[in-house]
Amino acid sequence: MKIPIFAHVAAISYIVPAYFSVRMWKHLDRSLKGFAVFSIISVGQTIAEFVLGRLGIHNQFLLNYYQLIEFVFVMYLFFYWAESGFFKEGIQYITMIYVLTWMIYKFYFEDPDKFSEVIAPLSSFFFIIVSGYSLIQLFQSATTIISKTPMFWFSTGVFLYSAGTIIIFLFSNAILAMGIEYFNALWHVNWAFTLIANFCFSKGFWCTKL
Amino acid sequence: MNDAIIISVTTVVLVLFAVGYIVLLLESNKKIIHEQQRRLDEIQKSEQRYKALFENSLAGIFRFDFTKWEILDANQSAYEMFNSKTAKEFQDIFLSLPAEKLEQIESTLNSNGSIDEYEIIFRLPTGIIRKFELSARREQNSTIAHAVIVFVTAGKLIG
Repeated sequence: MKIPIFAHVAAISYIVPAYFSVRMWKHLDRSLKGFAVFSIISVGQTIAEFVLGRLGIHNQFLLNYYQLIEFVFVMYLFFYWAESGFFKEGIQYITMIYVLTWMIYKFYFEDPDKFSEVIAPLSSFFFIIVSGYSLIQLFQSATTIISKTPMFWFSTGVFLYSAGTIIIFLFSNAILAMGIEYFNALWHVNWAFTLIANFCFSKGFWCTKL
Repeated sequence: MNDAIIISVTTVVLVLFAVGYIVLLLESNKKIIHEQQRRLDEIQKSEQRYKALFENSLAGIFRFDFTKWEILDANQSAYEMFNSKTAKEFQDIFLSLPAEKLEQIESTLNSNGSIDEYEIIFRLPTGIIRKFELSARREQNSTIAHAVIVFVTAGKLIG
């Protein structure tokens, strides 16, 4: 199967936030250092996925583990930024629900040949709620232009990526069943939002310098 | 084919909502910050006007704690009227007043919130005795008052 150029571009784009996170390391607080580690893990995961794919080894399992890691790191970021006890508590419950669902799905329902139509859309759904609420919280407490804050860029990246990909994650197996042309065409949405999210995360890391 | 269209349309609608939400927040935030900045500029301008009035007034203007008789701020005219260079010197002149005068000012400020044209006689560091009129208004719920002091003679000339 020929991988589209846009997929390569999207994969390479993971390097950009990782690069900025390393460059801005001394300006980062604890939550952003956690996200910096996640950005570096993302680069590693993309490389591993690519190598396994080239060797003809099934790499779907990597994506499933990555989704769990991604969820925990992103939620930690929002938890750290949450101002109200209610929101912090909500993030804790959401994380518990997700981890539990992930484990149940992993041990009882996972089909290694198929996309998970539960785990990825569920994480997107929770990301939309939490990042959307974080943006409102940021707006309410803002004393400056919010687009100058790292919180805005990280929340926007997560929010846009999740809103843009939730539907294709939800129907990923149905899309695959339509044929490789359809899959390639619709998966461009995922790659496009990967680029947007990585741009937002890079900008977020860059903002810490200001 | 139909499924692909439905998926695409739903995704586009969701993304439009997401982008709209972010744009709305950004625009509202910009408006609020712009308004805050405008108010801040107005306050700064007003402060500058007040400062100019305070610094250039021929009357002595000062802020003081009427329970401790501590001078918190005073303009140049106030210092010059009392031949004092520092707030401490200025304060000492006030503290040299008879205790009953100080108590009277304090109790009037406490009960009425203000005192008008109260005559006081000071002995300045140079030994000269001068009569002044003190008017002061107390800050709400505090022991701080804003005062204007003039030479009686100057006051009579103006009047």
